[in-house]
Amino acid sequence: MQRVIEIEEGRSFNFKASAFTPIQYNTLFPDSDFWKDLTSLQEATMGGLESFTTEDYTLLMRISYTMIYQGLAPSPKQTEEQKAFLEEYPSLDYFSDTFEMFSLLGCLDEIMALWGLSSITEVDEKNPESPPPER
Amino acid sequence: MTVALYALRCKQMGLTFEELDFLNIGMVWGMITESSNDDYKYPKKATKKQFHEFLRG
Repeated sequence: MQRVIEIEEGRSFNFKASAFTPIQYNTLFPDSDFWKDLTSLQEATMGGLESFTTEDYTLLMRISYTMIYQGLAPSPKQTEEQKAFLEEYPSLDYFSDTFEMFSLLGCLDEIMALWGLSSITEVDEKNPESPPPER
Repeated sequence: MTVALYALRCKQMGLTFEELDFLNIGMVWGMITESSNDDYKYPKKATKKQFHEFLRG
């Protein structure tokens, strides 16, 4: 699922959310876990933008960076466009510095909605067993 | 759920990373859930007659 989102006037990116996004995220940010970060961001979103911290904003920036990177390719194999993206934005800090302060916050709802649409399932779990404890 | 566990479940279902990119996360959640539903013991099962009646509407 893809959507073109305008972050700032004249700066639009194609965001892509797929079942590969969690793995792509961990490839781009090896010290992070997508599910943990997404849960933190969702909790922060529920608290409203007033309580949004710079750490929350970093998570939003990382998820956006991943979805934009994915949006450049028809498959997980790195394309020339993705190589050019990494050359243009070699790190998250560099990417972040190219925007006005916190301008991505204006796209928070759209980005979360894109992920929400991508997460819809109509399957009900029938086995009441709880998952194994996390280590 | 961690990404390592998620990747493991996807691999156990035979999905490649390339295939994952063409699927919505909702579809994969559904597949993981259906996979765990496979060994569910249904308390009541429809008979062949009931199933045919269901198909006929």
